[in-house]
Amino acid sequence: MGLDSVGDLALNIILTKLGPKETAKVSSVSKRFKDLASEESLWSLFCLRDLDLSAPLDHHGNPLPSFKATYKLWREAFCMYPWSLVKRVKSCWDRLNSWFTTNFPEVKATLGRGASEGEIQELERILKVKLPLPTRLLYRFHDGQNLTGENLNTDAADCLLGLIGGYCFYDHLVNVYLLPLHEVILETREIVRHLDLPNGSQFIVVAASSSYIGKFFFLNCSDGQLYVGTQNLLTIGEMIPCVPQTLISPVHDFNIDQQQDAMLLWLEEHGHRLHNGMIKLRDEGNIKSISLFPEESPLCSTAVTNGVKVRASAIFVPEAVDLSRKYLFAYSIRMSLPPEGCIINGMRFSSCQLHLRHWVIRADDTVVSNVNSEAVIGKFPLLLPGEKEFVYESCTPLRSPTGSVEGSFTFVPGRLTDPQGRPFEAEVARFPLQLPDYIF
Amino acid sequence: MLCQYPRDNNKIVPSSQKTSARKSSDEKSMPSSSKKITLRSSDGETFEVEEAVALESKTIKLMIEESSSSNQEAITLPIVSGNILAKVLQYCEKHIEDDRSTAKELRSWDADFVKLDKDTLFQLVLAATYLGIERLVGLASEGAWSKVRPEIGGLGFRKKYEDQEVEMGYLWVSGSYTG
Repeated sequence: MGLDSVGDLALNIILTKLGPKETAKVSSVSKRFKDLASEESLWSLFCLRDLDLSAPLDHHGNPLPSFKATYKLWREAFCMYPWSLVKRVKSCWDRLNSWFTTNFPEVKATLGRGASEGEIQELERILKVKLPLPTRLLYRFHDGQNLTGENLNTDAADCLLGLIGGYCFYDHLVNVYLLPLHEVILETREIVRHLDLPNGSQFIVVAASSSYIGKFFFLNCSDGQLYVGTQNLLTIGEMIPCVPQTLISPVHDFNIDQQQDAMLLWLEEHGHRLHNGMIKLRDEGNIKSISLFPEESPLCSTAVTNGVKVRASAIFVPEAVDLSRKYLFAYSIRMSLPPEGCIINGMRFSSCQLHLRHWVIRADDTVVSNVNSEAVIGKFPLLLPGEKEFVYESCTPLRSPTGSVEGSFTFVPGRLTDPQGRPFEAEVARFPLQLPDYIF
Repeated sequence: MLCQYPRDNNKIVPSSQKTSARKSSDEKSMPSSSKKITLRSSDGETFEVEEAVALESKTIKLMIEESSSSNQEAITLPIVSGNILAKVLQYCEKHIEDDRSTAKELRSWDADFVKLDKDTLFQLVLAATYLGIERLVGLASEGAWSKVRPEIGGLGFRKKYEDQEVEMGYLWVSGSYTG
């Protein structure tokens, strides 16, 4: 053929354009093409492009001898899935992993090694279900979270390492984690036995709260939707869908593009919210956890009065809902003073203390509660300049899935026992109560 | 030696006049599209082109941004020969006029453009890669590959060359998914 070095160089570039499959096919043509097709530069580019890999690693993170071996191994390990779906699921986990490695490595350490095809098939055999393709792939990368023992310091801390996270108000502590396959089997048999579900139902438990509160997430393997149990889960099997139904596409069809089931969408959304700061790490002394209370507008309102900054947001509490009678929302109120302190009409005060609260709660647009009372959860927080926010949580039942809360706190400059000036009202700007599109 | 790059026979209007026809009659609002850049190939040929054409190349763009003199020194491209540079500029000139041609016309023009011999196409791939003109890399690669493929007997996974290692290395190619 008489190809010279110009040809070789050009062919290298041409092969990068043709892609990994064509490159692989071409290698069998002649020795020259075999050599051209084996160039590490090509396979390192393909690994980067397809899998965002800049080092030759397998899907468990173990190093491999070359990029060519890496690409081959990945394709073989996942040959039973559409490649575009493999890339998408890897990308979803990469996003979550990168956030947790940076911000909450203790959670990253709990993420299990990927399950094997054999382990997944075993679960399917025992529970008599067929997992949707995206969920199978999710488990191939990480088999849930391992929350028991070796990697943890104290018993108290391991409650709060759920990847999904949660909230706490009064004694209602929730922290949701992803179940590893062996727990999926145990919990599914436990609960589905109690539930009055039709024969051959394809529900499995995929996530739950690690606290004693019963909050369970079910994946329906036949339609690919995720559900969370309400207060009536064990009596009438009542559940609420967690992901917008319109986004779910047929999940057992091998031939279509863009497959997505609720579990994939749910985890992608969670990663998205962590990265854009809508939800954040909560750090209280030694106890860290992911708090699901929104931190950004429009779901979180902010108001500043005389320096007193009040941020407020609510979340939907599905496990306390009774669809025929009531909804429940929990809300988190954060208040703080800037370093300059409390400034009223130009006069500076080095502290202020909460005395009264005024709360207006609406269901839709109708006022259902108008409260004037002392303290917040029995406390009279004293705000000092430049300190961390004082945070408290409470809740309100509502007869409708939509509403709002607003109000004000009466503060006294100085302290209640030693007032330095006249009391003033610090606004709590209206924040919404609404049924979210994604339920966590 | 100054020479104009070969023009299309079916060009209606010379490029400098085209620019003013497109803009409004207000002379003051005409941007620097009339600014010329001189490019010099590896074998000493020089080409004078409008800045917009030259800027299709990411490499040239970088060179212009980094050059301390604001003015008119020729930019030398040491690995691109004159005849190849001429073809590259022909491509760039055609493709900045995207609003004048429809996608269909451009595709048809592209198809004619790559009717070149294999060696020229290989050199075009390298030049376009060096110059950072992604679309031309793709186009020239397709053209070159269509010349190479019949020589090697198509892309069926046929074993013309028996090698165990090769076979084992690429089994995934014939896997169950085409994605």
